[in-house]
Amino acid sequence: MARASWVLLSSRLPREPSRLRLAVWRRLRRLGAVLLHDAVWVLPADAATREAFEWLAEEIEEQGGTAFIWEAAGLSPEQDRAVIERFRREADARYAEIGGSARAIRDAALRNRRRGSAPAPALRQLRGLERALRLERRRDHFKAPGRAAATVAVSAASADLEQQSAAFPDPRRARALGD
Amino acid sequence: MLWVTRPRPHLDRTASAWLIRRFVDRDATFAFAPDPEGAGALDGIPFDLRGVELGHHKGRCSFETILHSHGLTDPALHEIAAMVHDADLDDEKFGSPEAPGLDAMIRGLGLVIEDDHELLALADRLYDGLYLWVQRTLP
Repeated sequence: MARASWVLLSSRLPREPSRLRLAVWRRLRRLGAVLLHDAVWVLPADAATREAFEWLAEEIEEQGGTAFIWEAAGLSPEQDRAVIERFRREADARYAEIGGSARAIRDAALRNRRRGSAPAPALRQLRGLERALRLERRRDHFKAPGRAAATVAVSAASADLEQQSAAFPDPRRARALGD
Repeated sequence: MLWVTRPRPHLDRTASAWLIRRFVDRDATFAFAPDPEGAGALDGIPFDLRGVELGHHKGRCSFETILHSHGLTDPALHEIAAMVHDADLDDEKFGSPEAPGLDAMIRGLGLVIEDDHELLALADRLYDGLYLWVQRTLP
């Protein structure tokens, strides 16, 4: 494997407004960046991740904060492996959550089915989960091992519910399926 | 004319450069500057730089902004704009199935090609092909 190269971002934001800190934190999480030692955000370097940090750094400065970005290579392959491991662990935790939600939605829908209510709301919840899974795959920079299980859990739940829904005389069914 | 954007271009900028060269200014040449001040010093038309007219506006990426500001209505270009938008803004607005693949291709090219002009030239061929392919799929 080629030696990894990283982009790093460290920033200081004004204490107020707190929504700015929250917005920056959310953006970094959405990019799939990993926070090391509560100090430096890390992404594997390429044109897209470099650009994402550049825009974010500019926004931070415009809002009265300061930001530094670097491109860097670790000095040891062990360190690179440890950092990659961090990325995978964090992605795996999110994949596990998605898989768990898929199973919970399906189980709840099965219980409701016995009580005679339609699975349409559960199908809508699942569509949301599929969106979350697509985002997860885009920000999963090192193909974490949990990806496959989460994908299977979501499509299995989806297949189960659609089958149920097909057997259920619900006027909203067509719409829910067509979403 | 000279067109100026930031160095190390990714999707929005490689696609915008192609759009400019093929549909806006046949004699376009490109230069790179890190900020609007640097672009101003080069006396070129800036794009995809902070605060410039041909940049991100109202939820549009630079490619879409250039498309609209030049009144380009070619449906194939609008298909490509959807791919560029989804890959660049990551909001699934058009649900473009090509976007993640295109993003991966251009990221990969950027890893092996250090010279920005060479990258633009190669990406031009990629978008030429994409354009023909998209045209073929349209009614």
